[in-house]
Amino acid sequence: MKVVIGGQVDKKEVEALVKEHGEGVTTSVKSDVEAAMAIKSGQADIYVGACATGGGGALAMATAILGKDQCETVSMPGRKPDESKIKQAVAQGKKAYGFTADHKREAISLIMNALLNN
Amino acid sequence: MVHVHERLRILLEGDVITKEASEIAAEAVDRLGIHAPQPQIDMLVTHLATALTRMERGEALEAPPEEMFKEVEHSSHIKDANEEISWVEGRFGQSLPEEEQKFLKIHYVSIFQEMGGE
Repeated sequence: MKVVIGGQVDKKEVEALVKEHGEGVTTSVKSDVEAAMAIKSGQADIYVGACATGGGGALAMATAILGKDQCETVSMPGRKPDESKIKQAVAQGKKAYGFTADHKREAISLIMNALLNN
Repeated sequence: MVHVHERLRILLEGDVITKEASEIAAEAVDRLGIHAPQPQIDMLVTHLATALTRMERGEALEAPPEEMFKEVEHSSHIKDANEEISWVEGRFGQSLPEEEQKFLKIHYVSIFQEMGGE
């Protein structure tokens, strides 16, 4: 599985967390625009991205480039990641996942487990 | 690197933001001058445009965590941040909700810190 790290902050940390999920997962770090384009062109399978404050930064460009139905807001300020919603999004085939930086560890763990067990 | 105007064009064409939000966000960035740091500008412009769009579309956002905001409120750059937010409100023609103001203060203070040191 090719995971591209977009979003706006903590990209290296997010990449390290993704890499914890096995050798079958390859990663690349790009700008939010380039990362979304990588999904659109088929160069990558899954987009993950964090923003500092929530409210649009992590997924805004992915939403514009891939469409809302391909994107899932995993967490927002005051709203932690929800495992059942993530599993549902993965089952629906969504490709882009955004979260706030303070939730990155929990968010990546739930997203990657859902993807790898789907 | 994607220029601010290109970023706004993608968001506008993807229906993530409105035309008015795009115009105000572009003007808000112009006001900060050419020395404003690009990564923080990208975050501000994305957040501001999506915030104004949320207001136009009647969508609400929860406030950032208090600990995140507390640091910003005591920054020496908070006055400059408040002035820019007042300009946005004047240009937009209405006051921003307190939750949205808090997010914008975080983004603006971050930019002024980069530009002027702390």
